[in-house]
Parts: sequence; C-alpha cells; structure tokens
Amino acid sequence: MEILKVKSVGKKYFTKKALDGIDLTIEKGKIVGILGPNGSGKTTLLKLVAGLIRPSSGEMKVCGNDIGHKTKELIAYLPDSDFLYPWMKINDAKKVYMSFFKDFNPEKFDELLGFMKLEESMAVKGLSKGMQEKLALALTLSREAKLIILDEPLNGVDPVAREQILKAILKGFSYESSMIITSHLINEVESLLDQVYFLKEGKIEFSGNTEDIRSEKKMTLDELYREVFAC
Amino acid sequence: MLGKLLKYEFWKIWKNNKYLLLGFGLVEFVLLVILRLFYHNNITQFVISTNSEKNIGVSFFLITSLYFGLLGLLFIYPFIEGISRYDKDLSGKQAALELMIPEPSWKKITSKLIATVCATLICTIISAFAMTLYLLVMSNFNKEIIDTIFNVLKEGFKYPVESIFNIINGLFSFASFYLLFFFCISISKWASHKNKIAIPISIGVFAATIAVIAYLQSLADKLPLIKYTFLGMQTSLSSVIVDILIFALTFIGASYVMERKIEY
Amino acid sequence: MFKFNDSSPIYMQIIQKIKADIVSGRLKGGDKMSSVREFSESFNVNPNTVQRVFQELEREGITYSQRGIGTFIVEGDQLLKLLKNTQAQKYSERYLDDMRDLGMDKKEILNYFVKLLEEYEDGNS
Repeated sequence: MEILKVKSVGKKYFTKKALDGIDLTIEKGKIVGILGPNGSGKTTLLKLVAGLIRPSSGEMKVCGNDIGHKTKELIAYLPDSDFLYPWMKINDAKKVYMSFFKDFNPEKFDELLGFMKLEESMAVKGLSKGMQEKLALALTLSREAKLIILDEPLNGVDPVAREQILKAILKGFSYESSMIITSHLINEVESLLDQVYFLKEGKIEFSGNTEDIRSEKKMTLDELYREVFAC
Repeated sequence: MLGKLLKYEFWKIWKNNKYLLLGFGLVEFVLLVILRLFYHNNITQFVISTNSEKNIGVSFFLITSLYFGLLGLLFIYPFIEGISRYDKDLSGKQAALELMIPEPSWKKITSKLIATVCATLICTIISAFAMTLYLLVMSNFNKEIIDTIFNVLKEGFKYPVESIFNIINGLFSFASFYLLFFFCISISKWASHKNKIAIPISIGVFAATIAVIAYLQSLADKLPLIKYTFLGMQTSLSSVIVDILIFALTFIGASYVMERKIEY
Repeated sequence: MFKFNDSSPIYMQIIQKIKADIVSGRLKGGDKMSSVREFSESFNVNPNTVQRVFQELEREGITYSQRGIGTFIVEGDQLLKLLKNTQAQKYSERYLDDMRDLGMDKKEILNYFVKLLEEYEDGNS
C-alpha cells in the first residue's frame, strides 16, 4: 500500500503560490529526499503532509486516509528544535510522547538517548541547539510511525554529530514505514535516499531513483542538483 | 482520550506555575505573620474604639492592602494564564507540539477549558480560605467571628440544591467567559500569525462577538418567553437559551477553527 | 566513513570494496557478513541499497546465505583467484585510462610504472 499519495497539491498564501501541482507517491520501506533551495516550498510540502497546514488545492492521503487528526497518529514530524516547553526535562518530553503516541517505543528512545549521549534528567532549557536537535530526533525516531518526516535534521549540527544523526535515522528505519528527509547537505544524505524529488519555486523540477541517476547520468546527486538549479 | 488531555493540561498548569504558587503562599504567610505580630493591637483598637476617627496607621493599611491585593491577583491569575497559554499553544514555538497531538480539536478545547476552570476554582477557594484566615488570625480567633463563619457555612449546607446550582452556574459563567476568549483568539490566529496584525484583529473579533452577545441578550429581554424566579433569582427561559446558545456557538466555532483553519 | 565520491552507483562501489577486501584478505572465505541493518548503519547507506549489494554478491557467486543464520563469503581458492584477476584487471584498466588521458604512450607508461614499483619496494625494505 502506498504510504503517501499527493495529487495536484497546491498552496497559496494571498498572492504567493508556495506550491503548485505537486504529485508525489511514496511506497513503504523507502527513504525519500526532497531537495531544493530555500523558499522552494520543501517545508511547506512537509507541513502539508504532517497536517500542520492545509492545502489550497489537490488531495493528499496517508495510508489511504485523508489528512486529519487520525493521520497524525501515523505520521511522526520532526519539528524545529525548540518545540518543547522550557520547563520540561527530557523525561517529561518522553512522558508526553508516551502518553499521546501509541507507536512510541520507550526502549528505542532510551537507546537513541544513550547513543546521542543525552540523559533523561537533563532540562530542555540547558541544552545546546545541537543537543535539542538530537533530542527532537530521538523523540521522533522512537515513534514507529508509518511516515517519518525529517525537515533539515542536520541543521546547525557539527560534522561529528551529523554522522551520529544519520546513523540514528537509519536505526529508526523500518521496512513497514517510510521516511521523507530534506537537507541542504546533499553529499551527506545521498547515500540514505532511495528516491529524490527536486523542488524549484513550488514545482517538482525532477524526480528519480538515486542509484538510477548515478548509472544513467553518471553524476552524483550533488552534481545533478547543481545542474538542475544552476540558473 | 479526553482523560489523557486533561491530565496533560493540569500537568502543564502545575509545572508552569508551581513556583509562583508556592512563592505566593510563602509571601502571604509572611505578611499574615507580620500583621499578626506587629499590628494585633491596631485592629483590636480599631474594632473596639468608638471614635468616629479611626486611626489604623498607614503601614498596617498598606500591608493589609497588599495581602488582599495579592489575593485579588490570585483570583484573576488563572484567567490570564489560561488565555495566554491558549494563545501560545496556537502560535508560539510550542504550537508544533500542540498541533501534533492526534486528538480532535474539540477534545483539546474541552480539556483546556476544564483545566482552566478548575484552576480558577482552586484559586478562588484558596483566596476565600486566605481571607477567612486573615479574619480569624487578626481577631485572635474571636468567638463571634468563628460563629459568623460557621453560620454562613451552615446556610450554605441548609440549601444544598441552591448552593450547588449557584456553584455550577458560577462555573458555567467562568467557562463561557474563557470560551469567549478562546473563540476570539482562534479566529485571530486563523486570520494571521503575525502578532502585529493579530492583536487588532482579536480586539475587533472580541468587540464584534460582544456586540452579538449583547444583541442576543437584549432580544431575550424583549421576548422572555417564560419568566420565573428560580432559587431566588429572576430569570427567563430565553435568557437561559441565549446563554447556552452562546456557549455552544463559541465552543463549536473555536473547535472548528482550531481543527480546520489553524496553521503552524 | 566510506566516501562515495565516484559517480558510479553506490551499490557498485560497495561491491567493489567488498571484492577488494576479499582479495586483500581482510575478508576471508567462510566469514560471516554483517546483517543488512548493521551494514546499513555502519556505512550510512540506505538498507535497500545494501539489499541490492547482497543480492548482487550472491548472484555473482561471491556469497551464499543460510536462512536464519546469515550471509557468508564463499570458501575456497577458486573465488579468490577469480576476484584477484577481475579486480586487478579493473584497477589496472583504470590506471591505464588515466595515463593515456595524459597522452602517454605504452613505453612511457611502462617506464613510469616500473620506476614507481622500484621506489615502492625500496621504501618497504
């Protein structure tokens, strides 16, 4: 069954068209990259899928369901790093996730926390941006959701931590679910991706399978990106 | 699950305000102790003296005013806190968390409403308790005052139905009041996220809603349908209908807007 | 971390690396391969890509899998010899292509190579 089906979706803000005619399908067990320059509509698209924004036109279905509070149970969205209340401890965040998300796996969370070198007693206030990012990731990846959406998971994180995060993302992978990742660091995420969509000014400029791109076009994804977005 | 949401909202309120509440308790306790130790004489004189010129001393007056002033603040605080929290939950940094929670909006609003009303109730009880404590302590547990207090309580228990009805009515009024604000905030968040525009819009929506409510209530006055006196209060069927209607409409409105129109 | 700088498909690059490991002895016949997941996490590669690697290796007769136990490198000298030949051939062709790209002819290429080898041996002894 298709995890995600997006048909002719558009999003308009007063005069600006953030997205136009987006068609996208994701099967289960895939990691999909949505790449493009700032302002191309990547975040808008991801928020649409997560149900945080509503489309102006078109239709989206997650595992056959319309986007709504039911699909929020199926989708794990990685928010901007400081989405937790500052008075929370990591333990508190864990409790909230355990309480509301049936698919949250506390053992997986403990494992990821250890891997990221974080402790439950730490206060969210006292965490650096990189640590907050890792915490948000640990919370999101510990949910055995059907669709995991990671918007710029490597943002503002140093190179060593980035490698840890990529490993954590793979640890969170399952053949029963799919992932969407956006990132500017194309070289670093390329090896994780099965498929890729290039977004340019709200439209899909190109889409394809990452290994096919290499064998057919004899380019790395980074090189292709530069070619597509050159002008 | 409504229960989970309710627990979550209470937990949020507690965690956010526990130090404030404890601090408040401490300050009030200290104030009361000071009043009792240093000004005991003043108040006995005040009560006993038959002079038309009652001299109670400026500092005593100030400290007592502070004591009661803080109680007044405590009474209003849950309202302010509840409204501002709702506002932040819809558009602050934590909006993502709020919107991610996989429950229908009407459940979320109900749990917030119940939590805020309960918080108000608790603060009201604490305020009443603190006031009573003041009277008792300052009068040195004067028998007359204790008797008066017990009489008042007895009156309440004598007419349990009326008392309960009054309490429920009071809670309903609180809830309607909060709901009105939730409704206005939801609509303004729908219109815009940018704070500069959002505030005048909320004020506009608020004014418009008040106008509609006033109109509906004046209609009710004109067509009272059935006038009756219930438990010592003059009221009419229309007025009851209007109150329930306003509550229902603001609730449905806020839920609908939160579910379908709010964006992060 | 393994860098996939070459623009050939990633699964092919991984296969080349494994073949190189076998030829050099880092991987021996009979060794058990890591699971797809372990592989994926240690190389930071998509599990579907790793699956493809495993399938290719098995298709080429380099590995065999036992259900429930794991995937193993095929034993025996035959594999080693075959791989040595194919990989050495491949790498040599690469070197040759690069040198010819510089415009060198057969004699020059040979001279350079012999000189390099001698330096290498002197360095080692």
